[in-house]
Amino acid sequence: MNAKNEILEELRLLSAVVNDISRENPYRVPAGYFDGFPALMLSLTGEVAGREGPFFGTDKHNPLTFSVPEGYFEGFAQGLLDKIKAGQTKVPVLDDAGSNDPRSNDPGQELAQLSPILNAISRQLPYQVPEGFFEELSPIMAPLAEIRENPVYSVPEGYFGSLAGEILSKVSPAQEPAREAPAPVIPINRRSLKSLGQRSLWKYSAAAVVTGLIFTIGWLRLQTPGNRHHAKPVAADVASNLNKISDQDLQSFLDDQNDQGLSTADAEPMNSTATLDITDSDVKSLLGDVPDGELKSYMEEHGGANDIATN
Amino acid sequence: MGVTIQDTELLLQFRHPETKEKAFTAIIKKYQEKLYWHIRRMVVEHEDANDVLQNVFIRVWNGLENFREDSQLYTWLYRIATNECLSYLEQQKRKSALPLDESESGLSNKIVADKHFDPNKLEWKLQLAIQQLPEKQRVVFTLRYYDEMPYEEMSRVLETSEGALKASYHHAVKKIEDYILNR
Repeated sequence: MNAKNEILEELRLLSAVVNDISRENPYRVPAGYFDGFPALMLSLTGEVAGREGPFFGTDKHNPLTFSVPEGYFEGFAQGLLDKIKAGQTKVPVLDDAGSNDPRSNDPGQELAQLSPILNAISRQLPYQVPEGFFEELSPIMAPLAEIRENPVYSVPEGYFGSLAGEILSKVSPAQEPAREAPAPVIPINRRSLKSLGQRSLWKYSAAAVVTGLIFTIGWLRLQTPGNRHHAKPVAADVASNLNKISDQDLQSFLDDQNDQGLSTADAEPMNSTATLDITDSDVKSLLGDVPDGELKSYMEEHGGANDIATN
Repeated sequence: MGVTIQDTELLLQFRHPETKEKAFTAIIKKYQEKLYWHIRRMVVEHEDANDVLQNVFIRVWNGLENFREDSQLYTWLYRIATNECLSYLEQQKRKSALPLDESESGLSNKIVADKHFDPNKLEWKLQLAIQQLPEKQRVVFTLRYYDEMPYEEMSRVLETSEGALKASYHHAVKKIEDYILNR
C-alpha cells in the first residue's frame, strides 16, 4: 500500500493532468474471452479446467474496455499444455513470413482452429470414376509392376559387396601422399631469413630490370626521326648524298617515274620546280649571287628554259 | 527478494514429473491476465496479444526448470513477456517495412481502428499518447502507471538501473502530458 501511495504521489507531483486521467483501460475484451479460453485449450484433450485462486478478483486494472474472446483465460492453461504435449514444445520462431502459429504443425488441429465448418465436411471426393476403370487398369498395371520388381539389367554377383573395397584401394594410394605429407614448416631463424632475403633480392632485381627496359624503350621511342634535334643532320646527309649524284642520273630517275604512269598531279610534286611560277624577282633573289658565266654554261649544257619547263 | 511461498510450491510441483502439468496450469491461471494486459497495452490488438501470450508461456514451460529463484516468479514472467513484446513489435516493423519513425503510427492506427475507440475520452487519448513513446519508455510507463511496479522490481524486469528508470518514467509522463494538452 505504501508503494502504491508513493507511486500515486509521484505521478501527482510530475503531472496533475496525467494524474487526473482515469486508470480505466479503454481496450475491451471480447465477452467471455477469459472464461472460454481454458475451454478452448482443453477441447484438445476433452478436459475442462476451472478458474481458481483470488487472483481473478477485480481491481481497477480489470479490463472494462478491451475486448477479449469469451473464456479465453479459463481454458488457456490446459490448452497450451495440450499443445506442448502434442509436440509443439519448441518456441515458435518467426520465419520470414512472420508465421509463429504452433498449430500449423498439425493439419487436423490447424483446420479445426481455422474453420470448424470446413473441418466438419467429409473428406470423400465427389468425383466419379467410370465403371470398370480399375478393372481395366489392372491388366495394364500388373505387367508394369512386374517390370518394376524385375529389372531388366543384371549386375554381376558380388558386385556391390566388393565395390567399396575396390574404390578404396584406388583412392587410398593417391590420398596417402597427401595424408602423409606433413604441413610445410617454415622455421623462423637467421638462415631462413637470409634465404627469404635472397628471394626478395631476386624479385627486386627482376623488377628493376623490367623497369629499366620500360624506360629505355620509352626513351628510344621518344628519339624519333621527326625529332627536331635530328632534323638538321638528316637533311644534311640527304644534301651531301645528292651532290654525289650526277644531274643525268637525276634526270633519268625523274623520267622513270614519269614512265611508271604517275599522274601529272603525282609528278608535279617531283617536278615542282619545273612548274613553279618563278617571277623575275624570284630569279633575282635565287640566282643573284650566281655569276653570269656559270649560268650561261649551265643553260648551254641543259638546253633552253623552254625545254626544262616541259619536263 | 525470492519467490513467494505459493510460487515456491508451484515451482516444486513443476519440477516433479507427476505434478508438472498441474503446476504449469496453476501458474498460467495465476498470471495470465496480468501478463495479457501488460502485453495488450504494448501490442494493442487482442490477436497479437494472444500470440505473444502463448509464446510467453511456451518459453515458461521450456525455461521454468532452470529458473534460479533469485527474483520473484512474476518478475521473471514479466521479463519474458516484455522481451516477447519487444521482439514481436520488431518483427512487425520488419514485416510492414515501415520506417522506424512510422512504426508507432501503425499501432496508433490500430487504436483508432478499435471499434470502441472514442476520441473524446481521455483514456483513449492516453493510449495514443503512450504509443508516441519509444518502446522501452512505453514499457516503463505502463509497468509503473498500470501495474504500479516499484522501481526496484522494474529494474529486475528490464535489467536497467533504478535511476535510469526513474528518469525514463519522468520523461514519459511529461511527454504524455504534452501530447494530451496540445492535441
